[in-house]
Amino acid sequence: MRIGIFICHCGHNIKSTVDIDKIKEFFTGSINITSVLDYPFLCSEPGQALIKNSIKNDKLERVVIAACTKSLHQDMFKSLVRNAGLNPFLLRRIGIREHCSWVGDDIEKNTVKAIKLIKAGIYSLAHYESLEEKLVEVNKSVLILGGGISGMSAAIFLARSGMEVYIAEKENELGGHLRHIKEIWPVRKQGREIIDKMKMTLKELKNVNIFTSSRLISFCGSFGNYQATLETPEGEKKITIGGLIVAIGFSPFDPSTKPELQYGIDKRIITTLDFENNMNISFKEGDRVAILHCIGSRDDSIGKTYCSRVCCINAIKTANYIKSQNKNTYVESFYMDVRSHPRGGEEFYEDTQEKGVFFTRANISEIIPEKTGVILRGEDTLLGMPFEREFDLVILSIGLSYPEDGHEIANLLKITLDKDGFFLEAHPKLRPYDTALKGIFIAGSCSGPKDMEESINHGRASAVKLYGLLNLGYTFVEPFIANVDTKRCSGCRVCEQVCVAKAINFDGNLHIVRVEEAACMGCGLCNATCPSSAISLKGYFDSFITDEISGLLEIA
Amino acid sequence: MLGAGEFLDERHVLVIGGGIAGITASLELALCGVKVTMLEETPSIGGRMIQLDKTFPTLDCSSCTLTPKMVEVALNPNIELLTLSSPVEIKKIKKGFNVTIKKKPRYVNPSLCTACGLCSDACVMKDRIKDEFNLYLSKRSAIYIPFPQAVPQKFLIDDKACLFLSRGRCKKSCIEACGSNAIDFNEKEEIIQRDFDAIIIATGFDLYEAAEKAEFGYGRLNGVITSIEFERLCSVTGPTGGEIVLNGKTPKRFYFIQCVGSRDRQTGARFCSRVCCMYTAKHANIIKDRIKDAQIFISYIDVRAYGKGYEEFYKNTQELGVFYIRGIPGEISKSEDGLLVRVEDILTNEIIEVATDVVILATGVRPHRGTEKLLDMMSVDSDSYGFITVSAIKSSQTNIDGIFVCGMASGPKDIADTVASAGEAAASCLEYITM
Repeated sequence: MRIGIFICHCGHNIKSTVDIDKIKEFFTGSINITSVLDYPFLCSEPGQALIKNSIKNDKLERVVIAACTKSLHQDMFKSLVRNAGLNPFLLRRIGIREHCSWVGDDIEKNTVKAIKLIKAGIYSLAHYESLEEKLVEVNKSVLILGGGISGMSAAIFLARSGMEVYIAEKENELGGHLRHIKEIWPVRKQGREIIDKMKMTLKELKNVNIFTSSRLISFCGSFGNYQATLETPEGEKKITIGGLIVAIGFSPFDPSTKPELQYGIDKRIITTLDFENNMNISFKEGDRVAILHCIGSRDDSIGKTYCSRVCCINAIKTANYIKSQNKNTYVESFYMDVRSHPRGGEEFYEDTQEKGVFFTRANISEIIPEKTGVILRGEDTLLGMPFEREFDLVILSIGLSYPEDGHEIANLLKITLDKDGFFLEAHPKLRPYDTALKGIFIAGSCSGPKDMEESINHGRASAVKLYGLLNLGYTFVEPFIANVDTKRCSGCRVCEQVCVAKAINFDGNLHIVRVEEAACMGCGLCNATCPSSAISLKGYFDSFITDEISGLLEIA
Repeated sequence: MLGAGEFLDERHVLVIGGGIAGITASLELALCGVKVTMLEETPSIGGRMIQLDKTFPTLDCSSCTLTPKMVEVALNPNIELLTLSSPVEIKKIKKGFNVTIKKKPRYVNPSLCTACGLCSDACVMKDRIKDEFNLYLSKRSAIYIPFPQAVPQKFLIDDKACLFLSRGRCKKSCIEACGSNAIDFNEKEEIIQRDFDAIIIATGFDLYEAAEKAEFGYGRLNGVITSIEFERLCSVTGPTGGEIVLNGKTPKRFYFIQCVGSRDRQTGARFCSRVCCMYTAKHANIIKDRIKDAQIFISYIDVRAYGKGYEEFYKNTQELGVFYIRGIPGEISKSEDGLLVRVEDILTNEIIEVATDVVILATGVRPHRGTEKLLDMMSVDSDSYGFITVSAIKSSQTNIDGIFVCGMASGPKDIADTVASAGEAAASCLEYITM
């Protein structure tokens, strides 16, 4: 067998903690090893050319790429191998970056481990076989969970592009939180106005199906052919969709979970959201208003260490509004850092200060409702002095918490949540609205706090990506399907019961089971369940693992 | 709009700028079947992001994530990449645009160059030309490749540095060295005229000229550097191969100053540059990782750790033993063994003096040089800072139908926001060309 080993330096990442020369020395000249090459970045153009040329010139039959983890750039390396004329299933990736160099600083130990991992990979690679991916058609239809600004933006784009669009919204109308916002900064429009316009657009589009007061109750399938069941007021509705966008937004932080804030106990303590809902509050001369930043954000005591990104601007907007209503009010904003980062935000912050709003860097220690007013006690962290001041109204600039039904949806879709309960993106920078699953996207605040503009961007950006994927009309399904050894099958039919794809049929005449290849998803459940070890999965055999283990246990 | 399944082969979009914004927008459009021509004025795509060592808040290396995307651009059959190219005239025609593109000569035939590097080694000017990719901290030849992962992976000749091209006299050892006859001194500037259905501007940003703030002594005091220079110093493809070495020594004491050229009316920028707080925290992290006993101070006004995972990253940086001082220094002076920073700590109301080896200025963001001319050409509006004016609801929409913008060209953004804005621009562009 002719095996080629390619080792990536990954810049510093691998090279500085793994002795690449030693690995090369170890494998060069070994039996079956035709070439051992290294390069600073195998993913770069010359790096890829190196692999491609070696496959061709050295007539390689198997390829080992020792670089980053398999979940990164796998499609790229697979198509590279394919373009070089080798079946992509004869490629083995070894994650020496994540499994060796990032684990510790001990170069010797890391190197030994890298050698063992590569060796184990080679042992199992010897059993690999050429496989062909299945071409299947995709459904040009999309389900959008959540009908807030992000979901609606995605829906409009997709429907205009000709996709069949389903929207499932748990409330009885579309629009999400934005419905309640009286004035959106910086557009200076009512939330309702923006939402109503979008609703009209959706109404005019024929290929949009809106289900309000509805929720997702089951989900299965694979990209291009997902099956979803919605619970709607008209009963259960089953749909087949090509892809899905989760845009279920956030839950406003509930300050009553922090009793020291006295929220819900004293009417003079309200949230920024309450304020939006009652913007008819009028302010008279001499009214004293306090605005508290970071309520439900940057707070270890409640496990919400993150910044909610939008509440500083909300606080400034509120202060600005009160001052515009009556300039003879006393408005003081208590903050940790003023994060007015959006475009125009810094200028808005400065203008608000110039209007006479005081911004005090402070830690508030106590909120004491008295007859005459609400007393705030705390420390001015710029002056280093304690203070006590009385206010007529205290407004809590609340943060954004994870969506309530996030957990349930994550379980149904088999996608991941982050430590704060928001959805986890495939890559925080370059794939900020993708999930690990093809065709399933997360848009808007459900993956972390976002303002309106950012939520729209997410909705539309994920929509265009999904459109691109579905518009191709087909996809390749991994060839890992179950295979029954008819001689071993006892016809017990246990596999039939565990198969989620309903791909196993019982042949009553021969008293054995058969796999319907088109339906099999390759999940491996039947394989693991079969008491007679009669079912195997193409591309996955027990011998792969046992040989890999022997590779690991051999002394390097 | 066209129906599902229809392809858009006949539509052609011009993307100006090959940074992460332009790359993302182009790849999204190409995936939807649209033909894209990408213009990049430098010899390689990759933009600012490829100059970065690591990215916040995950500290994963910039090259590892961006390089495959750059290669994808090069390989995508729907994308035509024109480097060393920029538009010189843009005329509106019906719904689209007629664009005149100036393509500077590379003096190396890309179809023959194998990027072996022998020409560069043979060049008479080897190690004598300051390398712009490394912020002039290292030297290269007159025939060179901008950086190891450059796309296209082809060499070029710097006509100002090349003795033959600038003075007409050189022994041309590069020609001798090149085994594939790729060097062509007769290559001329090319003028290309094309029609496009829409344009996406992704011209990105430049950094504030630190020398303008005289009190910090950039360019005058040894040891005062900018963050982007520090970025190259940390990078494995940088002048020191990633070792933090300045003037031949490993510095131990670092002082960062944030908001240099941001939130500062004096510098004409009231705006917040959105990335400096976090890239400074990142730099502090990198130093703590590579120089265990380093002493690090960071001067700030507000720490704006607003993105996902940013606050945690900031906290973590503090826990590593990095000192944050609220207050921006008034001046930096030379001291016996380095530099002296005088700063009023607004939290303690004390004037403190910190002795340090290096001062790193976290310079803010400015529109990319030349953007103004480009916008004039298209009658696209910009704000008082020169960033393109956009709608707050459709963040890519400019005042001109059919011209869209993404990334930093419309104001400071971090990478994640840039990527989302590029996706949005692709969506808006697609709607425009198909409706």
